Amino acid sequence: MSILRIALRLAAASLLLLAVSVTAALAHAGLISADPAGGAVLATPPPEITLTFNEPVSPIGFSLIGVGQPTLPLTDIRPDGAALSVALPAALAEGSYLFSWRVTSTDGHPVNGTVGFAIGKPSGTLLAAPSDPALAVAIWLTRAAQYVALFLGVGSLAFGLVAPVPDRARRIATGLVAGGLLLVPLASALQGVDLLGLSFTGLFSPTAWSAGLASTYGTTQMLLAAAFGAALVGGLTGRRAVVGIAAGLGILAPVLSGHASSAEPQILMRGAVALHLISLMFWLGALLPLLFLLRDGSAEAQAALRRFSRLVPFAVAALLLSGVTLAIVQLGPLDADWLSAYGLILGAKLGLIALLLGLALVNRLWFTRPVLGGEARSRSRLRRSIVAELVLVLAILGIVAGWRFTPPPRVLAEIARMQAPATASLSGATAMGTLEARPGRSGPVSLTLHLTDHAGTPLKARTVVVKLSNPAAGIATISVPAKPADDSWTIDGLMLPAGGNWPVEVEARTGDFDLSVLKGSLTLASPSPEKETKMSRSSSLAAVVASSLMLSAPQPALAQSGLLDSCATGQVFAAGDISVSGAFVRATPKGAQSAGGYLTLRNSGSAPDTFTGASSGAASDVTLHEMKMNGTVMEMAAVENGLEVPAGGSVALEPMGYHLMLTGMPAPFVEGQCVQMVLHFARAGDVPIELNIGGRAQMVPPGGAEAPMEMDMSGMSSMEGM
Amino acid sequence: MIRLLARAASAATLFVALAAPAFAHVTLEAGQAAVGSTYKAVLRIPHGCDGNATTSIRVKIPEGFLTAKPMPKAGWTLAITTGKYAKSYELYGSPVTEGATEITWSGGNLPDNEYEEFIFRGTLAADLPADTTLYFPVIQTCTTGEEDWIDTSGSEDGTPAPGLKLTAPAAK
Repeated sequence: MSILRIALRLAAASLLLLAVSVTAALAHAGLISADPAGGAVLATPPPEITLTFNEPVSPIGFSLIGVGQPTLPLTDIRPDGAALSVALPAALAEGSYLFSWRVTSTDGHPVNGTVGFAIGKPSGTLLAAPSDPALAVAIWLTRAAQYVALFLGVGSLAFGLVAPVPDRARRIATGLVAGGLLLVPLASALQGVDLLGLSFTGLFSPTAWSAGLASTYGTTQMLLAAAFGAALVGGLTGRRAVVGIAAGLGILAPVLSGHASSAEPQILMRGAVALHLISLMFWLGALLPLLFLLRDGSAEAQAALRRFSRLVPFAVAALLLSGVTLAIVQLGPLDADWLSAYGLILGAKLGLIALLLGLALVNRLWFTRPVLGGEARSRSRLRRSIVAELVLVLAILGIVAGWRFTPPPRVLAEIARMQAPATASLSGATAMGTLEARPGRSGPVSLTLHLTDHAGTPLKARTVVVKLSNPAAGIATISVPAKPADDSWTIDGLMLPAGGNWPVEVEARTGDFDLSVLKGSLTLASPSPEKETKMSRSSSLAAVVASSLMLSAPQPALAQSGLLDSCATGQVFAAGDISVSGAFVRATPKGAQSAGGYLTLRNSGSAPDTFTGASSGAASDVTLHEMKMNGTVMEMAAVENGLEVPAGGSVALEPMGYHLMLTGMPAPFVEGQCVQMVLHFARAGDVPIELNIGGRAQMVPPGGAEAPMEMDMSGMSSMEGM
Repeated sequence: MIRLLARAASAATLFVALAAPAFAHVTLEAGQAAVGSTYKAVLRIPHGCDGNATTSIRVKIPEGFLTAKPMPKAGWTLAITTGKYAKSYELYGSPVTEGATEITWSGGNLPDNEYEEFIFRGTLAADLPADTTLYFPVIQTCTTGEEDWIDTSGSEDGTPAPGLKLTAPAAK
């Protein structure tokens, strides 16, 4: 080696040294401003969020989290000097959002934070009725009209399975069915408008339409459309089989959504709903055909009436039985709950049904026999009575449509349970305290903080700042000042979008130079997503928005997504002195937002190297994490300064220890496929590798002949010093 | 030999890179000193408050840091608050009961992209416990906003107070 080359090399090394120390001395980056600013309430969704730092920064990862919604990685980033603009998804729904950011400043130190903002109004209200009265009326009218189309329209045509339907009745029924079909798009759009919390004019926005169709109610409407379509064909052609299918579809539609179907036990409840609807459809569907049949005393009319009166007691019995079952499950034991709005609607419905049953009884006991005997006066009385029954039916269907706006007491009780607070005890060197989060579940919460010194005297603090983070959900520190109350400190309407463990740090400023730092951990419940969608408007809207976003997002081609259809197992990848073996990740369920990556790093050189990070097209962010037991609590923390691979040693990244955390995957990981990734090392540079995708509980590399690498214990022990 | 040198250089680079985050905080240049010794505190101000220029630096002199004297700085107004110590200390054979408890440099203008050092000197009382950290909480005031380097919990996150690790006096 020539002297010149040596000199050059040394010069380069010292320059590098100088450069690093100089930039380091210039300090890490600080966020100067965000637009929208933290805590802003915006009238319309912003197209992007702009962060301005005191110096140019390199983006690492960004994500957006709405209420009860999975973390949404944001990848469209536009740096502009010391500012960064991150594009937000189009058509964000009303509600609160947290924007988590991570950047690297020029000194290489990762800096992160979270900006919270709200669109329209902050999320918070559960099950609010539509604020726009016109919207409420429109929703109610479409519902009621669709019930009429289903029970009187499809029902009348289905009566044709029992007895011939006279032409006039068939025409009316076909008309009703056509009307019901026309209302399908409107009903879906209204649902979307309501879900998104828009006003009546929102009916004309495509977002409302897609949100409505994507909801469970959208499925119901699709089934209804099929039912009405089939009934229309059946009504026009007179094909009884088609009409039968229509009736089946029509009954299935409400079974799949609605309050009752979401109650447990679902099989019983759905069965009861189905039975209720079948018997109802038989009874109500007979009214129109009978009305027209009984205009004359023909043998055909008499035969129809005879059949109906023979079958209807069974239908009524089934109706009452299923009705009572549903009422008991929804309302619970007979108590004050029966006086709730839900109970009152039920009461009104029961009153009308009692009247209807009375009329039916009268028809059956006093009119049917004489009519069958051919008596004309009784026939006209029976027809009048049927008209009265039809009026009652319309009223009942109208009332039932009103249930749309009242949650049953069962749901209200569940909401109350979920509103129960979560508490965390806090401790520090000079103070202690408790933190109460109400409700104790993810979403908007109110925090109350009681602080005392160790003697139990309330702590006199000038300012109190609460810092919360959720490493597992990828939420960086949220720092919020608390407001002083009587003998406590409070924070209202703080959005904590994920359940699970939130490490808490409280900083109480007690003097110019005196700061009490208290630490603790808050555990929030995360309601199951299914119940969540059914119960909370705000979160169902989030889910709907998320799913509609998923639908509209282009599916990336497999090759560009960092995923391979297959690759060999037991591969060893090397660059410089570093070799990587036993690399695998676990398969992820659809919609999962994180996955662990495991591998063994081996350094055959005589100088230590540092694993500084990794990147992959299959995940928006790959970070190095460490799982460790803190007492009895499993903790997971990001490792920020890299991981040393000792000279001649190896380090295993495995389940329950150091591992790679992949977040923001555009596509799920399928067992048998492979993930492409590039590992970055301080000395060896970039090492491209392929990770086999194993099963969901995979503990060793798939195909693992090479799996138990000669594990170097010196390497393992050196990890502990990190 | 050459490989060794190059390796040493890159190892040093790596060390500096890893240590870098600490430089982002307000810190003391010499991170440790023996109890009973004279200590020259060099307070390093790496940046302003969220991009704004620094206009004042207030340091609290902790109990046990005796007869603290600041070094004046051109363009900055110096103010020293004195007070009684919690107890009487013995320094060079005579008792010391009071001295500077707070030092303020104010009225200056240190842009965010410039670096500055503020210096004061004093004696670490001989009866300070070794193997502990003595914190010098600092309040940095800027044209807009302030940074409070007063967290003495030992956390490296956020805005920790500059700390001085105390060591046992050198054997005589």
